[in-house]
Amino acid sequence: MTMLSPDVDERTSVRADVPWTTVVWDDPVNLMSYVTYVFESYFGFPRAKAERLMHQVDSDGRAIVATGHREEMERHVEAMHGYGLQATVDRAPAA
Amino acid sequence: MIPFVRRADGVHLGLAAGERAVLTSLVEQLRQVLDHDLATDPVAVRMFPDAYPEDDEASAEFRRYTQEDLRTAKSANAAVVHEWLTGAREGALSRSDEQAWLRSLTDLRLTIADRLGIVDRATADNGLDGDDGSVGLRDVYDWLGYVQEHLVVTISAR
Repeated sequence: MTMLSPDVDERTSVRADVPWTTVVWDDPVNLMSYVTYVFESYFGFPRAKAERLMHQVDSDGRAIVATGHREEMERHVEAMHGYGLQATVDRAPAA
Repeated sequence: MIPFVRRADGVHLGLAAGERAVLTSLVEQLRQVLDHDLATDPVAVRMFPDAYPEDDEASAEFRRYTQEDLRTAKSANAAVVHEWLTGAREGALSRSDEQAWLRSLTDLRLTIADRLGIVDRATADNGLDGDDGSVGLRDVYDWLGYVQEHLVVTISAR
């Protein structure tokens, strides 16, 4: 695994036929280490990607952590709520 | 004491007796919130946030399908943590025990943050003022953060 692999960045790459996203929002309670842990363990992201998304949540107030069909995004959001994270389902930004 | 200790067979509880007693009491209160008071408790919006912030109907439908399962899972997590604290479980935490601990510590912090009025960065220091030297809810909140941070680091060091 290399950090510079040309993997698709789910923050900017959105396909027209999968117009839903899972958004995780900044909150004043959850620890940065815990949010990173959740992204790593639930989504299976490599540590570097999990940390990048965690920092995006922290600095931008939110981050898109998954893109896909609505039902799948709802499963992710339910899982995030199970972890105690603030997460929502949203339409993907226009391509 | 160090909250958790990694040994050859896994993560063990390292909390001192007094710390266990404090946490046991907190977990019992959490179980009460989860089992009885949720409908009228403002912490519910933190534990079960709107999935569609701009669509009340979709949020309500999502809640109908998910809230009871989530609540049941949170209660079960708290029960597991309670068993560890009271000695009903001992030895090394299983993977699912680790999850129960991480999630219950989060639910506890969400609940206490609600009581302290911590809703954003501007209120993140609520409860730090007027320290008279006694151990208050804010101290408990920060200590729980330390315990959780320690567990995340200990688990991640696998």
